[in-house]
Amino acid sequence: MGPAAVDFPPDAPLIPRPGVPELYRPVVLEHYLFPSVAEAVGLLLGVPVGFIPGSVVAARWTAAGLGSGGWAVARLTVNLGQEKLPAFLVQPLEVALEWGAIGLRRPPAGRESPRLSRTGRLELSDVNRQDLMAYAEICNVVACGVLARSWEEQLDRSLFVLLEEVVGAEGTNLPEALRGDGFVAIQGLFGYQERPAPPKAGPADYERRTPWLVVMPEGLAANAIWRTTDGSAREKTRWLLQTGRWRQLPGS
Amino acid sequence: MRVLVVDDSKMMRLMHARSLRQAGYQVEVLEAGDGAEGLRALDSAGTVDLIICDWNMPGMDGLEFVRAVRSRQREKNLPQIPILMVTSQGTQEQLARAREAGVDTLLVKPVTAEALAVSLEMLLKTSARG
Repeated sequence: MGPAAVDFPPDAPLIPRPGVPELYRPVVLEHYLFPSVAEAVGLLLGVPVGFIPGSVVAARWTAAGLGSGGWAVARLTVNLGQEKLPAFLVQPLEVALEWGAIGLRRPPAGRESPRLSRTGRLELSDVNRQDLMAYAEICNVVACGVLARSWEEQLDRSLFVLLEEVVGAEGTNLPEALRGDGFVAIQGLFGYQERPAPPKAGPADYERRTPWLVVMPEGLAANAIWRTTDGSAREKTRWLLQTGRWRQLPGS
Repeated sequence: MRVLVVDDSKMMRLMHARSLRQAGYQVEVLEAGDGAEGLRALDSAGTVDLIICDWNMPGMDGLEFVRAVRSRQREKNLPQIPILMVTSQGTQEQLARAREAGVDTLLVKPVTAEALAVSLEMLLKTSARG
């Protein structure tokens, strides 16, 4: 099943670019990294969470692509061999706070949406901050533990990940580190629900879906998302970056 | 079974309690947000059957906490409480440091109910024998 067959939620900043032939499969991402992440989030939250197969799309990063909503940004340092490289996990802030609230067993009635002030700045309430802290712990376990272990195993190279910080930011006012050039964005979709899933439910049956973006330097992507030694990783990465387009940017 | 869970993340404390119950244990869970609070909880609880603690915590971290617990047990000739530590990375170096501090079992986050059940079965058997 390719991205075209997947229903992308309205808050997914990347959608499939039509007409791109499927030349390769990002197997490390689709079969190992994203499913491991989903399993870990499910364990942490205590609710069914699954990676949506065939939902991976990617594009060159542009901060303008996120539009004006609120986003949770986790800033990471990836240590690959001797190199230290920046990377980010980006997710709609509303969902990040919801995940934090679910992890804290906060009932729906006690949850709060983030608000924009009169000047257009993001304002987080005390409840929002507590939920964002819980979300930061999710990012910590996912990035530094699950993702790093799965990645290292797949690449058979020394790799570890540090979580530097998790912040809530507006799409129009992202942290400085995300305004640079040379990054790529790889998006996977995750399904989740608070009700127990029926025994035979697949990822496509989840009540809610959310995008989660991994933003990293293009060189790291080429080195870290393909299990190949034949020199084709750069070509495969260039192809992958054609598979998505920014919903907010016409003609992207 | 009375369990002291020491973790600065409330979400992780809830997850450990949930995993213990999913693993089939009937538990009374005492919670602490860091090592110092964990020591105070031990003082006021009298005794617990198991300690689950995080490695990284602000203030007194997991290793300091475990060393303090083991030191108190030696000084007061108290029975050894099984200690299970959780960490994000679980490297060989961490394992060696945890054992040196007095940790019985090191598990990597997120801990599944199955992993917890297997570890606890071994840990509690060893503890009963010792």
